[in-house]
This record gives sequence, structure tokens and C-alpha cells, in this order.
Amino acid sequence: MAPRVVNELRRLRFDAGEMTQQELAERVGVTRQTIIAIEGEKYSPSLELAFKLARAFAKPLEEVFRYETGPRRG
Amino acid sequence: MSLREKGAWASLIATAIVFVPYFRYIFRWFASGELDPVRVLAAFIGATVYLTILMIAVGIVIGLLSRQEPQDERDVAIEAKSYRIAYTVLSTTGMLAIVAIVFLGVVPVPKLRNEVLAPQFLSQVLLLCFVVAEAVRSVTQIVCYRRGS
Repeated sequence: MAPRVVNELRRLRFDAGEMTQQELAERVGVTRQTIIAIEGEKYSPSLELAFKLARAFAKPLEEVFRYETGPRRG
Repeated sequence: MSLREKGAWASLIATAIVFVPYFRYIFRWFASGELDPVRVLAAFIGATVYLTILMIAVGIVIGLLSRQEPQDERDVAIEAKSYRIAYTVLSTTGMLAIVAIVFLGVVPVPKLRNEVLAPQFLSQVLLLCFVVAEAVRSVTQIVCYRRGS
């Protein structure tokens, strides 16, 4: 199976006081649809946006995004 | 539905509303031998003005009814993908049209050859290539937004 970018955005939003997708989108300057696409692993963000997302949760990049091989999450 | 997805739907619907009847009339006139340059020019100007007014009106309505959103990197990526596919369609249909014109130019039926090679018909074939490419661009954007990719 081809490697792909997976992320922990959903869990991190939950840990951050159930931050909404809209709030996160506004923090990093994208649309809510883009956050939905990233969470659903249908869109891989640019490096710049990945850093912005990590910064929004005050986490290092590797705690938010991973590059791995495996089945897609349901 | 995002602001840009609504824009893609509006563009597709407006293109269909204007150009489906337009080409129906153009090809009907061609079939009946009534495709004269003045008539084609008048129809083309009318369609362009109608499409412009329609797009402005729909753009205003969408703008008023939707939340204003910044264009982000995913929008740019989808736009680039849709233009890439539309360009492929435009170049393919354009090339097919050129090949068809070249072959029709040597058919041993002078009446058909003269009608097919007339500027008022060739211009409409080229316009059709652009309209198809534009429709493909809108459809690609809608599919990308729907799939979330």
C-alpha cells in the first residue's frame, strides 16, 4: 500500500476544548471545507499549512502529521 | 457548500442555459443552409451579453447569500487541476476539429465543402471547443469539491 499522510487533527481539536473546524480554519486562514478534507485524509496540506496547523495546537509537526503505510481509517 | 463550489455550479448552469440553445440554433441554421455571417454575429453578441449579465447577477446573489471565504491553497490546487484538464480537452477537441476540417476540405462535394469551410461555421466549431472546455473546467471543480480532494 502506498505511503500517505495521516493526521491527528480531529483528536487535537477535541483535546483543545472541542475546537470547531470553523475556529481552526479561521486560525490558520483556510476554509472549513479544507479542514474537513485534511481531517478526512483526502487532501494533504502544504508544508506551510501543516506548520500553521501544528502551531495552532502548540505541537511539533510530527505529533500532528505522520507519513505511514497502512489501511485508510474509516 | 463552499463559495467557490457555488461559483462553479453557477458557471456550469449559466454556460448550459446560454450555449445549449445557442448551438441548437446554430446547427439548425447550418443544417437548413441559413447560417449567414450577420446572423451568427448577432447570435454570438447576444449570447455573450446574456452570459455576462447572468454571471454578474448570479455572482451578486451568491456573494450576498454566502459567507465570504478566503481563497486557500486547496482552492488554488483545485483551480489548477480544473484548468489542466480543461486545457487537455480544449487542445484535444481543437485538434479533432482541425483534422475534421482538413478531411472535410477534400470531400468531393463542393456544396458541403464550402459550407463547412465557411468562416461563420468554423468560428462556431472553435467556440464549441471553448465552451466544452469551460464546462469541463466547472465540472472538474465541482467533482473535486464534492469528493473533498
